[in-house]
Parts: sequence; structure tokens; C-alpha cells
Amino acid sequence: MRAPNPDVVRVLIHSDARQTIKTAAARAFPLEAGGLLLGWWDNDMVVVRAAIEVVDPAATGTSWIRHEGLAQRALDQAVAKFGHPWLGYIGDWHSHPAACDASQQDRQSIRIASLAYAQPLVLIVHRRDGIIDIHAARHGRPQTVSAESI
Amino acid sequence: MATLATHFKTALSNIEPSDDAENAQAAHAEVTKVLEADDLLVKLGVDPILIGSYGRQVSIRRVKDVDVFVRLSKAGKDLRPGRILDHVAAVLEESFPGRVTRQHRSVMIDFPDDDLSVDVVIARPCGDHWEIPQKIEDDGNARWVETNPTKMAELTTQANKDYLLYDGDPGSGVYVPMVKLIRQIRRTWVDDQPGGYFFEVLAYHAFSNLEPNETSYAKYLTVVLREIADLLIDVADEGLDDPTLDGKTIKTKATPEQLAAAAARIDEAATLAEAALGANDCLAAVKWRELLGTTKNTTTEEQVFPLPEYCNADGTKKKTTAVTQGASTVPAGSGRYA
Amino acid sequence: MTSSWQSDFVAEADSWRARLGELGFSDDGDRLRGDLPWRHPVRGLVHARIEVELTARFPFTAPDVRVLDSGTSMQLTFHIDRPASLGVDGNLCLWDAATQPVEFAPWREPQAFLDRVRGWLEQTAVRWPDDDVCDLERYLLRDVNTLVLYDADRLAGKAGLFKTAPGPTPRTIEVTEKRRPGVIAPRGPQQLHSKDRGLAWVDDLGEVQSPPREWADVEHALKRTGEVARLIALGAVGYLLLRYSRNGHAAVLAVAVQRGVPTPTIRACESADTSMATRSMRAGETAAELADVRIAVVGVGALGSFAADILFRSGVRRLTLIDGERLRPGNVVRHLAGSDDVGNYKVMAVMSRLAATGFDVGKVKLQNQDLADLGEAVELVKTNNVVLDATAHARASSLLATAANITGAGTGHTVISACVQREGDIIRADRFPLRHGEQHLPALISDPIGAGMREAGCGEPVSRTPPAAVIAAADLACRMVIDQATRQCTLPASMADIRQPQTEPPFDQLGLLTPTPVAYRTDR
Repeated sequence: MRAPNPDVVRVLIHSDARQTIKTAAARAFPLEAGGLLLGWWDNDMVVVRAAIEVVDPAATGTSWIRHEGLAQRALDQAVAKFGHPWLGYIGDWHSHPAACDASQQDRQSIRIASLAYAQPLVLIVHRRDGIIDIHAARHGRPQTVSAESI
Repeated sequence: MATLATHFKTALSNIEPSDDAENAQAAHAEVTKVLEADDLLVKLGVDPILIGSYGRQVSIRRVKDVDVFVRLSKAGKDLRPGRILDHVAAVLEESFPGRVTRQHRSVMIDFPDDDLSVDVVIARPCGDHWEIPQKIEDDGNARWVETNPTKMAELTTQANKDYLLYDGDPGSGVYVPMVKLIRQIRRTWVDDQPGGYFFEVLAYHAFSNLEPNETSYAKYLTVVLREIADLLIDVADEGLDDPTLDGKTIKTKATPEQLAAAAARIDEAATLAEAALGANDCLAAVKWRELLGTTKNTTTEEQVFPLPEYCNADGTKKKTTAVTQGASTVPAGSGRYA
Repeated sequence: MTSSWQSDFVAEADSWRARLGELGFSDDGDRLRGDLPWRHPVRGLVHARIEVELTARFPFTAPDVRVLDSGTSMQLTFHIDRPASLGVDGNLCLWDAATQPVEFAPWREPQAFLDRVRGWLEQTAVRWPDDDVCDLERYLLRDVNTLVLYDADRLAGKAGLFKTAPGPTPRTIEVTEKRRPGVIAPRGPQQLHSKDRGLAWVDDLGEVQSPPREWADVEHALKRTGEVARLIALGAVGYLLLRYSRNGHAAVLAVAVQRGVPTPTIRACESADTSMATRSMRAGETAAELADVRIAVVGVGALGSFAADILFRSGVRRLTLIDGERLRPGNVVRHLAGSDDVGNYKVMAVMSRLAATGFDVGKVKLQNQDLADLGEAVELVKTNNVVLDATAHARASSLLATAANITGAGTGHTVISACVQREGDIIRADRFPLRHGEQHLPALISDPIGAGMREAGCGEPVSRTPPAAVIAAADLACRMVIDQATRQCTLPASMADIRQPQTEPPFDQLGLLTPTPVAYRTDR
């Protein structure tokens, strides 16, 4: 067995999550769409099992904001609906209506959010050209990501 | 609250003197047979019975010595214990050559194969009670002291009927298991003195004072141990009442310093028990383990209280599955993404 | 070394016990005992005392529960096990093992578990009003060795003394429909004629209010108690067959009786109904319809023998089996029949297997000569609703296909031609004649069979098809036959199961293959 590299966060992304993000991004175009990543942590691996959309009524072509109240409600509903014992919040996603990667602001936001959790959080940015840009942060620090699809 | 009932049950079976019990029974039978075959002793109305913790079935692993109380029911006031002990030693020596030691007040027979010895004590009748020699003079005369070793057995039986885990179920007595646990705690926490019988009497008083009614061994042990710790403080000044003889106190070899040290240690043990009772499963198990220690005088020292399979020795729970559920709350406030 | 999954269960059991401890239950490490308040319909809140024991099977099965004191004077009736030994209480049956999915184990939540016990007590207090569980065996001592067979139809409405006979295997006995008339009396001192021993008394208990637990309860429920008791004491009656119902749901309790002083001992036996209705219950929904359909199976080798068996078990009774060959030892591994039929004509061998099911083979016809000519083939198609061609023989197949086309579409008489190709890689069935607008799958050229694939001598080439492919082909063929025989006509004209993709399209994809429907222009 390969010894785990402590600096690399493995992110496993389920096709359901990709599909949800892709659909929501297309629907919202030319505005940004965004929401929560749901899944669990398995050792140092983050499993992104599903994504849900959280509507930001004020979203623009260059901004999407996660509002706590709306997001928590969406999380609670999703957890109840899926009924999966391991499912919970593990990060955020949003779309870029242009072909550009996560911004400085994006990376800072996920770093700040990660301060409140023991395990790393994942940020997925869905670019207009279909490429997804993946970042992770643990305890406020950026992490190197190795992503796989499942 | 962690009562860990199944693990307490295992702990109790770990201190059960099951192998010793057969050996002790056999040794006792051998000695009795020899004594009952002697003409002089028969004339004196010889009638040996088992006493001591083994006789009361409150002994714990390992049982090193078995006490045989040789009642001479027809012995008169003129019985000279020195002579009788010499005679008993001689009779036994014939059957157990080289294994008999004439002691100050008793005769000891060694059973080396079983790592066991049998102590023979002689007694003469005194009203409802019995007397045993306290100090034997050079001329074979002695001062006699009143004793009632069978009384403690009766009290033990009664207490085990009085204090039940399940109301109305006479098979669920908790007194005997508690005495065993207290004896084990003494072996673990107290240096040599006071001895096991002293703590057995303490436990008896603790039960009488509290009249506890609990739902688990863990809770019984915790309250009884605290009461014993409290009693020990007073005992240093007032002595310990002998429940078998009105107005008498228990004799102990313990010095006042040893009594004070024991009181401090048992206070510590009682505090540990209270912490264990309040702790959660694995941490509790580790504390119970510390409290009950290891078996004494066994070939290898074995932990009395088992560590539950799902616990680590440091009191943390084994991580049997590496999966951590995703968080149930989103980050506070709002997060801006551009 | 304990593995992690085991320690998970120990941890769960420990915390479960602790939760009950918090609810006031005493725990000695084996059993937990405590009070359970519950609501009696008349007396209101009462306190029961129960004993709970976690078995090694927890959490896969619920803990054992025994009622030490229900808190009121009610009698415990249904849904309770017989005590394992004297002086012990019986375990409550809280969840029906058959219907309770193990992944949903509600007892893992102590509160839900206790609620279930409360519910049990409340149901017992009101005498289980909606209960139709017929399990009276549960409450009696068991005779685990004996199976009592009876024909519920033939014994319907009858009561009294009936003769018994040994069943098909040791330790089974059959209650016959033959009465033992007249009066039974001992011939001499304590002597009873041997034919008057081990008789069965058949009776009705009606709607049962509380389960019988001993002879006195049964005695109480019988109509002619005195007579039955006398016959048992004589040694004449060895079995009781008692019809009863629970909320209208009918059932039978079979009991083995042994005379004794002062009362006989009774033990519940497993029992089973041999009536045609019960034996046909599992034949499928189309069984009744298939009983009058005429079906011929041409070729009862590997595929045909299993197909004939499936059809017969599905309810087809007017079956004609045609095959001129004898069963060879080398056939047995891929044939319905066993080695004790080697040397018999295959049709005979299959017939004996069909008869072994116990269903009537009186209308099964056998022909141990192969089809001679087209005339015979046409006659066969005309006289049968469906002919299954299981010959795996090009000449016979084309004969039957031609006969089907001559008999013509519209008559409803069809031929299903089934075969295994490419040594089991493909199984296939085709229906003839085609209906309007249908087409078959394209033909697939069979690989030539090598010279080494023959039995000694110069017989037919032997295919190396494995038995599983043969049975799968029989299944596919029977689906098409039954689809035709029941006139559902929902299946296409060809079906092929590609078990190993081939190079030639459309046989290059794994799975079921059917022909593409022919497209028609509508703007003619």
C-alpha cells in the first residue's frame, strides 16, 4: 500500500455531483450558479457524492454568495431526502460563465470556511468550457488536490 | 454513564478461584479424614469445618491458604491447647511427613503441588460460641479468646439474600460479588495491611449503613467503596466493630500509619470509581481496569477488568471505520465566490 | 483477535445495555430486568416487569424479552414462544422474522424496542383483535421428526376417525380420507387390532381465542371430547388433525398424541396439505389456462427435456413428446433424466421424471420415432397449439418451419424452434409462421464441429455446450411457447441471448437481441 502523502487531499467526485453542477450552471447562464457539495471524509480522502444548488437571489455574472440560512435549509432538506448515513456538508461549488479558474476571492472564501471544520473542505468551480477546477483547504490553509472521478 | 455490565461479569469470573476451589476442597477433605481417624480427637468430639474467606465463598484468585476450624465439642475447661496442638501436629505429621509446621496457635500443612497450605485451628466450646487459644504459655496452658467464625458465614449468606440486583430473585445477590471486588481492590491498592478479612468486615458495615439498592455492579461498587473510604477514617480512632461478637472490635496487625495510608488509598480508589461511573464507555473501562488491577499470586498477572474490544488502552474508542460523516452544518455567515 | 466489525457490535450492545440502565433496568451482565409502564385498556397505567437478554445475534435479531409480571392479571395468549425449560418464561415474538427486513432493525433503538413490548402488552390485553397469524404449533411441545400430510380438499367438512398411512419418506405419515367406521373396542386385555392403532381424529376448533398449550386446552375445544379421550386412552388415536381459523384465515394444526396417565401428552407436528390446489399454487398464474393447451416437444434431448419439464411444471398437461433416440450415459450430464434411465427411450426417461412430480401424466403422449415426413409434421402442427422444435437438427427444423408456414398464419398454430449455437455463446428461439410485419433475426452460420467431438464410432457430432446454456435455452424457448399458448403474443418472432459477443453484427453485443421492427410508410 502506498503511504498517504499528508499534503495531498484526494478528492473523489461522483458523476451525480458533476451532472448536477453541469445542469445548474447551464440553466443559470449567463449568471453564476452555486451550492453545496455533499459527501463524507474517508481517511484523508474527500468523497463528493452529490451536489445541491442553493439559489443566490442576487447572483450576477461574476458573483455567487452562499447565505447561511438558505444553505443550511438546503443541506437539511437534502440530507433528509437522500437518507444516506454519511452524507453531509463537505464544501462549495459555483459556476463561472467564462472559461476561467477559481479566483483569488474564491480560494480565500473556501480557506476561511475550512477553519470551522476538522477535515478539509473542497471547492469546485465549473468553467463555461466544461472544465472543472478543484481546490481544497484545511484549517485555513490551501491543500494540493488529487481528483478522481467515480 | 457506563456500567459495562457484561465486562463486570467477566471481571468477576476472572477473580473466581475456580481451580483453587477444587484443590482447597481436596486438601480440606484429606486433613479432616486424618483428624477424624484419631482416637483422642474423637474422644474430644472432633468436628472440623472450613472457615475463612474460602469457607464463606468470598475468596478470590489465588487462594493461598485454607482455614480449618477444628471444633472439639467435648473438650472441657481443662483442655491444654499446647498439648493438643502438639498432638494434632504429630497425627498430621504421620500422614503428611515433612509438610507439617507447628505454629504458635495453629498447625499448618503444606500442599506444595497446589501451592496451597491448610491452617488447622483448634477450638473449645464456650456457651453458644467457641474459644481459640490466644497465647500459649510454655507449660502448654493458654489464655483463650472468644470467637465465632461461623457467624460471619451466616451473616454473609443473609446479606447476599438481602441485597439483590433483581428484586425477588434470590439468585441475584450482590453482596458476595461485591466483597470479592472489594478484596481485589484491597490487593491492588493497599500494602499488605489491613488484610482481606478487615475489608470484608468494612464491606459488611458499608452495606448495613447504606442498605444500597442499585441496578448494576458498577453502581453498587461505587457507593460501597465510598462508604468504606469514609468508614476507614473513623476506624483509625474507634476500631472496627466485630459484627459477629457484640461489643468487640476486629483485631488487625495494621499499624496506625498503615491504617491511615489505607484510608488515603481507598479514598483515591473511591474517587476513581466515581469517575469511572460518570465516564463514557472506553474511558470508563480504563478506569475500572485501573481500579481492579491485576490478579495476584498467579503465574502471570492478568488484568481483572477486560478492555472492551472496541476500546484502545488509552480510553479512546477504536476507529473501526475510517469514515467521517459530512458536516451537518454549513459555514456560519456567508461566503462570497466571484 | 477480534475484528473491527465484531467490536462494533460489542460496542453497540454495550451502549444499548447502558441506555436501558439509564431507564432503570438492572443488569448483571447477562439479563436486564426492569419496570415497563404501559397502558391497559381498562385499568389505565400499569407497570409490567420484564426481562431482556441480548443474544449473540444482536443486532441482527431483536433481544429476547420475557414478561415476569404483566402488572395485571391478564393471560398471555398469542405471540409468545413456549418456554425453553420449566420455570422459565417464554420469549415474546415482537417482530415477525419473515417480514422484518434486517437492514431496518428497529430494536436497535431502545425506546422503539420498549414501545414494541408495550404494544405487545396492549395487544395481549385486547386479545389481538386483528390478528390472523396461524401458528398454533408454536405454543405446544414440538415433535420435530414427524411430518403429517393430509389432503385438505378431500377432508373438507369431514370430522371423525380416519385411517393413516406411511408417507413417501420415513417419518412422514398421511391422514387418508378413509374413515374407520364402527366402534373400536379392545379385543382382549389391552389388545387392539394393529390396524386400529395410530388413527387420526379430524375435527374443527373454529375461531381460536387463545392458543392451546396442553392437552386440557385441546380437550376443551373438541366437540366429542369423551370419545376422543377414550380412543386416545385405548391407543387407537395417534394423531389429531385440527382445522381452525384466526380472523377468518383458515389453517390446520397437526398433533401427535401419546396416551398417558393422568392425561395424554401432545406434540405439534409440522403438517402440509397435499391437495392439488396447494401443490399447484406455485405453478404460476397461467397454470390453469395451460392445462387444456396441446403442446408437442419434438426432440427431448438436452434442451427439449428441460423444456418439457418446465412446461409440465407450469401446468401443461396435454403434452406430446417425440424423440427416436435412447438415453446414453454421455447424455445424462445435460439431460433432465438420471443415469438410472440410461438405455430407455428419451421420451420414456422424461416421462418418468414428469411423473415423479406427482401430477397427473395421463394426458402426456409419447412417440419414440422421429418425424418421418412433411405430412406428419403438418399433422403435428395442426393437432397442437404450439410445437416446440428442440431437435437442433437442420432437417427436422426446416420440416417443422415449412409445416408451420403451410398451416398458415391466422390459425394460431405455431412452431417455436429453439437452439443453442456456438457452443453455448448464443441461445436462440424463432417463431413460425411470421405475423404481418415481422421478421426474424438474421441467421448465424454455425461453426463446423471438429472431428474430435464425436463419441466413439461415427454417430452425430457432439456439441460442447455447457449445461447452463442448455437450461437457459430451455427457459427462453418456454417463454415463447407459453406466450403463444396463452395467446398473449407479446414476444417478437426471434429472441437471442448473446452470452458471449460474436464478431458478426448484430450478434456482437452482450444481452438479449430481438429483430428491429420493419418500418412501413404510412403516406401510401
